Amino acid sequence: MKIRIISILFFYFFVISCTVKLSLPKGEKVCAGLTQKNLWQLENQYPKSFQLTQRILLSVSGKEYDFIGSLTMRQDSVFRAVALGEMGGTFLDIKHETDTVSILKNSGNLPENPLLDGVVGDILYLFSFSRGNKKLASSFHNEQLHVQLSDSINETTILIFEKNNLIASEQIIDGQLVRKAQYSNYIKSVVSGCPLPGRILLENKKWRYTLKIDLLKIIQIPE
Amino acid sequence: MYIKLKNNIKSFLIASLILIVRFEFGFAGNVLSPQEQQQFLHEMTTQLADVKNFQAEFEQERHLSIMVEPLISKGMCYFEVPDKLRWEIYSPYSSILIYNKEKVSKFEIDNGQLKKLNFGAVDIMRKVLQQIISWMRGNFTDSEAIYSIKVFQGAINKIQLTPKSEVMRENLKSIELHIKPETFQLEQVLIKESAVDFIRIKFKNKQENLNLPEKIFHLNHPVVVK
Repeated sequence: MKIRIISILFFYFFVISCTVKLSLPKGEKVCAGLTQKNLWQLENQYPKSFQLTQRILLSVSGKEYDFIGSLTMRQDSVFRAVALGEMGGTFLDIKHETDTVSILKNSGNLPENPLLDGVVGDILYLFSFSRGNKKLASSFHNEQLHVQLSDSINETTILIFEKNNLIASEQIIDGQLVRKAQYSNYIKSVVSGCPLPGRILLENKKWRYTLKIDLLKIIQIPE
Repeated sequence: MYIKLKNNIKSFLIASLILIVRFEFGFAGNVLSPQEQQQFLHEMTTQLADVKNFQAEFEQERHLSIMVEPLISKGMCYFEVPDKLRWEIYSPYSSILIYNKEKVSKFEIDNGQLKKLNFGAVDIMRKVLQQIISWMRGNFTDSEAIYSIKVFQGAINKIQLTPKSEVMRENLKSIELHIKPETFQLEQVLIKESAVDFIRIKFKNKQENLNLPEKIFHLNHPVVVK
């Protein structure tokens, strides 16, 4: 009897360890090493301090606006993001430090909430990935690795990798889908040697805009 | 001995000061008086009246204090009197901006496909491009309401436009148009956004009075040249 109970419990825990969470597709049991490898690559694809130059197309309320983005990112998610007009002018200049955000310039008079909550959140989401202490679950389905990271409060991130490159992600906060992103046109970074997405398509579902971000240049800067 | 040394140092400092002043203003040439300026601009308009259209390559350098390296863009500019302009960037990304009879269209080329944008900044861009077209024709009359204009004559002539409005000067210190003396052709544009931030646009391989296809300035299906 005792052996039977232990066997049942053993079988139960074995099944649990292979089962995915509700939001991930059911699939083959995934090698933990593959998940760790992909997450490590994601955490290290950008150097600790770097500057990106990007061409960005913002789609909002049926209109499209193109501009050049310059993002300077340092450790601890300290960054400065500037939006430049193609023919001159600076539309937006935002500085983010550990606990504060400063809008240094806002020539377009963009409303503050989408800027602070939307844009700042987008930048941290796309360019400052850290697994931290989040709970992890993963599965392998149709040659894609699905990884779910959940913190203890209210945030879940779903990452989908194909051939070791991140191709899509979702961020869910308080049960609501806040951000969806697709990553493509991978190139080898001249700085880190890691593959970097040449194009990112981000949908901010909360503030209802889309960003198409094409990478023009990446430079490593002193920390 | 001490007095001789003191006099030498004094002479050296004065000479250095003169050189610095000459370097600062000698490059820019002599500033013209209002009458000379009016004559200069009139001559420019007359000379440029023979130019019915032109195309030119350009290289644009964007220097910002926050950027580690300047951003370099390359492109082509097409212009046809009285009111057609095409500003095309082909490196490091592809984008085409067209002004044609007061209408503005913007395109991007994505995976080899031309895509027209539902451009949200049409009104602002229309005003900017109208201004550029006026300058290309040597017409600065409308700009006098917005800018103080000075002309410097020298090895290269320079037209300096400084915004009159303090609000505008917060984002734009001045625009300088560098003009070839004999032909009044625009050689370079220098947009000074702050004390340290600037954009330099250099033009080259300019060709005038060509048979430019109409489709270069088409607002919906422009021909893709590069």
